Amino acid sequence: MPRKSILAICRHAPYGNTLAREGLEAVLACAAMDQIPEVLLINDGVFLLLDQDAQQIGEKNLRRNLTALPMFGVETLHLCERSLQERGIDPAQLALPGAELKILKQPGEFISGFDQVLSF
Amino acid sequence: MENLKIEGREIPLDKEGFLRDLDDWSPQVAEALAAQENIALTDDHWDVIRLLQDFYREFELSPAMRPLVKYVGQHLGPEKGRSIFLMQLFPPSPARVGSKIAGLPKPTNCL
Repeated sequence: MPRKSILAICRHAPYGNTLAREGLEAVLACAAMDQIPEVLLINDGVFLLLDQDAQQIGEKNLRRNLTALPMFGVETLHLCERSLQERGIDPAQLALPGAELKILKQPGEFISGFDQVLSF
Repeated sequence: MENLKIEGREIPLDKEGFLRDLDDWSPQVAEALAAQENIALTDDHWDVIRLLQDFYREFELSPAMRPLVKYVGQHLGPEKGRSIFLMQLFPPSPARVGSKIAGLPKPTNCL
């Protein structure tokens, strides 16, 4: 049986609740089990890519965790163009060392191409 | 797991032998943790222990096997960035055993 394609969707900003962390941990767990998922940051999930000073609230820095993704084999991050625009984020300012950032105009179409979708 | 006693100081461990307080780590603590795994630390071990600690500082998480192999390869060269090299140093599970001796938290996604 061919391996199923997996997409993890991160829809929430870091720190407001635990969903952003849960999503990232699910991605890392999949990758550690050799089931490397694609990752889509959409809605407030695009905030994950911005610089963060998590020490101020005694939390671990989720952006730092995100920079580990290429080490785990996740080498592309998909970003929703409209989510970036609505939040005034210029894609030119974004970067993740070792990863390619792909901007999606049609996230719905992209999502429907996967066998399994994890939504956080 | 019994606590470690080093120079009269008691170092608390969790039930799998990981440090309860990561600030307790010192090279002597690493030697004692390694002894519990029947490992005598060589220069190769110390190179990997330092890299594990760098990895944790950089990404704020403990590595699983794949990223550890990749990270070691990037920093110590392709000869050492191989599972077999790490297996020989930290059997039977290099990411878990290495993280323990380096004073990192248990890798969350490591079985």
